[in-house]
This record gives sequence, structure tokens and C-alpha cells, in this order.
Amino acid sequence: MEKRLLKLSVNGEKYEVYINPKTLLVEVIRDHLGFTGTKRGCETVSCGACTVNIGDMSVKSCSVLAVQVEGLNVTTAEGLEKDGKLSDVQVAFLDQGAYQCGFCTSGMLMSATALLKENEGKTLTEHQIREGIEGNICRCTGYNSIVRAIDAVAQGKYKEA
Amino acid sequence: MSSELRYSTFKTNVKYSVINTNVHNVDGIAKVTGRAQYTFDVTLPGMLYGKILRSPHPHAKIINIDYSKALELSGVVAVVTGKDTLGIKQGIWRRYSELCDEQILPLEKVRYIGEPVAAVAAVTEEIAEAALDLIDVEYEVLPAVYEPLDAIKKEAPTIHEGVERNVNVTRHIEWGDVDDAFAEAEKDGYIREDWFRCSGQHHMCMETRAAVSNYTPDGKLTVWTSTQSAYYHQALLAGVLGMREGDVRVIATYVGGGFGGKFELDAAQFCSAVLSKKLCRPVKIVFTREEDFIASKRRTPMFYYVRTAMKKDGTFLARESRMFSNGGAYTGMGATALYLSGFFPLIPIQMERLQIRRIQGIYKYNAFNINAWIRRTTGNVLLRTAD
Repeated sequence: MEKRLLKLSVNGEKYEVYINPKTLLVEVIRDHLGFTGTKRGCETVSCGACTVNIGDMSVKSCSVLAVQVEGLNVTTAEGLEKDGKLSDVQVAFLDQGAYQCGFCTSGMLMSATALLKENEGKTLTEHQIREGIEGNICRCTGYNSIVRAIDAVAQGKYKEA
Repeated sequence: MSSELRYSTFKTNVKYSVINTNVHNVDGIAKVTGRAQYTFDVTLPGMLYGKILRSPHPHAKIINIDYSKALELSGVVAVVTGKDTLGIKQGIWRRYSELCDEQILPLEKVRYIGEPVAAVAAVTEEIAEAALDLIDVEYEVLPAVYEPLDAIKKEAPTIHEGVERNVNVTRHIEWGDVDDAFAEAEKDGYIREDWFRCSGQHHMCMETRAAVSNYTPDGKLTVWTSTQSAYYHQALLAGVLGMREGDVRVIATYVGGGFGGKFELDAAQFCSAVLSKKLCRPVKIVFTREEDFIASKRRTPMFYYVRTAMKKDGTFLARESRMFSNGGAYTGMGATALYLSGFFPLIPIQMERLQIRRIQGIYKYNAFNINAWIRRTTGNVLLRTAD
């Protein structure tokens, strides 16, 4: 297959990569651009470790071809922090210890960020939170602290006064 | 969801430096910002990617391996087989030679489906994978055995030469006079007999087995790997590669889950080290999820027989248990698992007299499993069912 040029924006920076059209988004993010915060745990769109946000939508980056995001804004875990300041979700994860081995954390953060963005200003039930991260597997099974962290943000505990 | 209790459970007016404050884990910032570097993320200058060719047969002699076509493929740098190794049999119980039974790239025969027979290093993972199809391995397929209770039969095929009835390790722990206690229960009490069977379990860590080995011309080997014990791997690698421990450095970066499954030397570490040593270039091998499932260490299936003696008033008198573990093709941590499974049936109960009798590990051939491996919890879970 003939290679082609892909222009995309990752974490606010513009990139151009020359890729085989069958390259997956996760491969561009990790292997071409070196954002290794995005993990790969399966090859079957099962684990959610590769979740990134395209715009405000969370997407498993192994489930899309890189060429599909031509011209779009992709955010990875590395892009959550702004000007050296962690995002609310990141701080909540820290406060609640919502990570163990940490391999699923980047994906969890992205799913959580998208969920909270989608439901901004609304209250979330525990069920809704769990549904929001259903695509992400944590094999350390630390789900409760993750749910608590997301809940804390949803309740506005991290809003600046 | 808004219970106050879930956020703070300790109320006090005294100000403490740590209590009632959110103390973040030292690795927290790295993990929530994507900065934490796992073995899976390590890339070195000039690094090659390795892939492992695995046996499709559960038990077969290796007659010949022809990899000349693979070497012709553009981008393939090297192929190694058992002949490129020292052929040293290794095991995590390295002080006991009879428990060191595994050549990770075997010279003579394969003993489980998915056993590595050759490893390729190429400039990309894709090329390395394509090269696997170009390696011709000639096998002489031997009869296999899948269940431990079949493996101990006289007529069962021998998996390891010289190992009688495929029994790899036996353990015997005994305290007190059990026969006496059972005789007492027989007369005036109760005796309960149970059989339990627990299936094999895979740890299924989020990060699959991975290693980046870098052998440099000064004769030093550095290995970044996903491990629970850097020292085991330093010692084991030095042993199989014929190196001094001081010349092997193992860097355990962040580990994407271990759960007891990342102690033993695995094929990613060994094959990448052999390739790197041959080429003096860094080589990275990451198992696919499928490889991790079919050909990495896991908790072993176990068959438990439990006999418990009790007095009429419910006091436990004694317990006898026999355990048969489906240890897979090689010992690995199987010897440890047998030992622990022998102790855990005792933990939650007090007994007047107690014995655990004939805990046996049966050397059994399992199509998927490599090794005996059990996590402590499994023993406990079994026991709770037993109680």
C-alpha cells in the first residue's frame, strides 16, 4: 500500500507523519510520535488501555485507523496537564490512589475525562460512572477507588473556589 | 453516591502531619501523567524487534530447523535456535538441579503448545513476524498427555526422560497422629470427605511479558523487563548465558501487573538476551496477548482431596489432604505452589491434631500451560470451600 501523509494534532501540537494507511492510531501515537503514556494491552479492542480523546469523545485508539483522524485533535494522558497544572481528574486519581500498577491509568483518565465533560454540571450515579469506564479493564481490580475519584470530580470537589 | 464515610473515616481535631491528609503514592504523578515508563515503552537507539516461533505440538522431537529463507527476508537481522544457546537447563529453584528442567529454546524436544523453538530479530516487528512463517521446523510428533491423573499411569508417555511416572515433585508435611484422630472420630464424631478441583488461571496482567536486552561489546548485558524480582532474573540470566552476575544488570521499570506471575525467567527475557548477545544490539520482545495466554506461566489446576475429622461438639480433630497439581511441562514455581497449598488448608482453623498428607505434584503435560504456578489466594479459596 502506498504511504501517505497524515496531519493531526496531538495534545495541542501539530504533527505530520508519513504512514502506511493501515496504521492504527495507537501506533502513530506510540511508535511514530512517542506518546507512550497511551498503552496497548490487547490487540482486540478489549482492554481500553489505549483510550484517547478525539475532540471530547473517548476512543480506543487501536480501534481506529490513523488516517481517520486527519486534521482532528487528539488528547492523550500526557495532554491532560496544562501549564504544569494537573487536571481535576488527575488530582482526584492521585488523592484517591486510583491506580495500582498504573498500566490502565492513562486509558481510565481519558474515559473519565470524556465522561465528565459529557455530563458537565450533572450529577452522576455510581452506576453511570461504572458504565462510563466499562470499556477499561483494570486487572489490579482497583475499580472502587477509580469510581470514587470520578465521583469526587463530578461532585465538584475539585472546582476552584 | 455521596456518603461522607467514603472519603474520610477518621475524625479528630488534632492536627497530624500525615493522618487526615491525602498522601500521594511516590509513583503517583508519573502514573497519572503518562510519564511512567514501562518495559513496553522502552526504545533504545539501534533497537531491533524480536518475535518468537512457537511449537504447534504439545510433545514432539525437533528433527531440524531450517531458517535460511527467513534470513533472506529483507530486514531480518538474525535468527537463533537452541543451538545458539549453551543448552543449560534452568529453573527458579536453581539450587536443586532436578528442578532445573527447562531450556527456553529447547534443543531436543518441545513439551507444550507454544514452546519457543526459534527467535527472530528484525528491524520492525512486522518483518520479524513475517519471518516466522519462513522458518521450517521438522517435528516428530510424540504422544502427549493432558491430565495429571492420566500422566501418572504406567503407560503414559514420558515427558522428561528419567522422571518416573511424570511426577516432578512430591511434598510431605505431617504433624501429629492423624490416624489416631480419625479413629477417634470414627468412634464418636464425624468424618467428612471432599474432592475439589480448581481450574488453571491466568494472571492476565495488563502488560504482557516484555523485555529489552542490550548486550554491549564490553561484555555487559542490561535488561529492562517487566518483572516482580529483578534479582531472580539477573541470577537466572547470568546462569543460562554463562555470564557473571555482576555483568548482568536488570532494570525493573514500572510493571504493568504481576500478581505472582512474573518471577520466572520467560522467553521474552531469554530470547531477547540471546539475540542481543549475538548481535551486540538492543533487542525488544513483547508478547502479544495471545502469546501471553498460551505460553506464559500461570496458576496451575489442582485436584484436592480433603478428609476432615470432627468431634460431636464440632471441634476439629484432624485434616488430611492430598493434592494433585497439573504442573505443566516444566517445574517453574510448581514446587513452591505445592508447598504453599500444603500449608494454606490450615490457616483459618484450629485443630487438636492435624496432618497434611501426601501432597503430590504430578508432572503432567498440559497443552497450554508451561508451568506449575499458583498464587497464594488459590490455596485459600480452596480451603474456604472445603470448610
